[in-house]
Amino acid sequence: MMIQVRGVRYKYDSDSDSYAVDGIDLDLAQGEFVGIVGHNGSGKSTFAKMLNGLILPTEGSVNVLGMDTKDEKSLIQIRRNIGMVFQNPDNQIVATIVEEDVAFGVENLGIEQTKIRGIVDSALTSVGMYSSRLKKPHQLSGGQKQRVAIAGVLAMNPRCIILDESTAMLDPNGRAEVITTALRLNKEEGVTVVLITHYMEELVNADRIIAMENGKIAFDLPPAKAFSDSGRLRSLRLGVPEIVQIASILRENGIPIRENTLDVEGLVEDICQLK
Amino acid sequence: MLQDITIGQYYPADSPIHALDPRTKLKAVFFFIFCLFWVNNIYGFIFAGVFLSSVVLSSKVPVGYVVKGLKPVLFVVSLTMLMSILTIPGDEAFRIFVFKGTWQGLRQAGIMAARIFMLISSASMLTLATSTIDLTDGLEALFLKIPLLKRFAHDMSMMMCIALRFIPTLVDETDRIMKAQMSRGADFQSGSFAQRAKSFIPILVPLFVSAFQRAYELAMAMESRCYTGGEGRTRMKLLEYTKLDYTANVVMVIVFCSMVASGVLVNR
Repeated sequence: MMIQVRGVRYKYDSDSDSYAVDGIDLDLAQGEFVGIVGHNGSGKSTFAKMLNGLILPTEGSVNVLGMDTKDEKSLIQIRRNIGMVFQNPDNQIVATIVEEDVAFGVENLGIEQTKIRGIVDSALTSVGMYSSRLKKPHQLSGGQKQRVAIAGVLAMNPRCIILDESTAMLDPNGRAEVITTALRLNKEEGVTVVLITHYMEELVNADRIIAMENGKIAFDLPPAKAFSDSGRLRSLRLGVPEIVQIASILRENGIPIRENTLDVEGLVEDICQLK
Repeated sequence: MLQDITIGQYYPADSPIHALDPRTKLKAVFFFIFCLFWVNNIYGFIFAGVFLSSVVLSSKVPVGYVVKGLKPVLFVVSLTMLMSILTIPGDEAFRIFVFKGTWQGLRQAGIMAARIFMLISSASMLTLATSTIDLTDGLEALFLKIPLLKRFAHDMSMMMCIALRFIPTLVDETDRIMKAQMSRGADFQSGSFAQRAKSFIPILVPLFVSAFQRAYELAMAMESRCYTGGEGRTRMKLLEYTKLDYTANVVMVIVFCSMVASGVLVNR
């Protein structure tokens, strides 16, 4: 297992009784694409920050590639393997030039100077931002900035990338850019992706969807199963993707649509079968 | 309107001065200013003037930009010139009412004005022909050579870099806050100076709050990208001296030696 979470609880205020994360057990395997959903205050961001040691659990343990996040000596190793992209694209770009920012993490690791250029160029190419490498961050769109942030993480050659509501502040185009990039990295380069989001339609291609509520895991299911129970989703204050809604209405009206149809292409295919 | 703010006063151009290593330029300005204080006769200033104007001309920066940099000191310079003309004792050159101007005073005033103007011009030449990033890198590299400042070299350049990075972001933010306050009826234009100054408080408070929020998030992002300070860090881009820098060094040694020499020899 790449990440093992055992009995983790966390509270921000040591005097209070309420836990932001309240007893989570979870295993993440290499190469998985996992979505974490939940309404505001469900503890999903706090939980995500525990996966690379930005927050240490009050109780329980988080184990990354055999290293405990509580062990300060392994923090650098953990963080280079578990990259994190945050919500606000403006607040995570350090340098004044795109390529310098991508180099930031690599420089921190003390990698040989002659190798950095190649690493940075290939990370930028991988997210499709190579042609913008000399631009200034404020000349980029939100989606582009997030792709630069992903490149910055990617340059450290991580096993896993956590996108902590990285699409929340973007317009639909920017969101699509980020999700496509994340999917490609997962499918083609085998990087584990943990995508934390409010938008269920971003998770139709995920392997698992984990819903959180009050710091606990409400369910942990593949997307088709997760979307099938719209009543439960509603009680967790989560939406159902449009296509899934349409499919279920069609099904109710006696039109045979497969249970695992989650996107436009699938729905079109199913409907075309009808003739 | 706030978008038009330019950071620093870098004037991008393709010139040998722009292509010089920032360390070379920083050293040049430092020694040039040092030599300026050594020079105290016309020959020295001719050397300095010819050197400075050939630098300005070869940098392709419009002369107007350099002259504009002198404006802020114009008043102070003329005032001190006047003072030295009138107060330095010596042979009378002219007389207005009771005020006596002396030849010695005139000479001193001329030297001082030339000194300050050249000092300012050389400094603005540095910032006009060096991008802020290069300047930061150059300063870090030079600080690393100075034992006392060595410890702060990385932190200083990191802070400068982040400040430069966030200026446009915070300018945008200020613009947004101003518009938000204006849409609620805030008035930044009318009233006395005190009133106008006061009306900026509703801009500054949210700006500060958000700046702290940004700082907190940025610190977390840096931490999650394995930042632990300057130690053990490598750099993608290394400053490297080229042939151009060696040539510049030779030219500088000649010019600066002649400036100093003219001061020492002619005054005998």
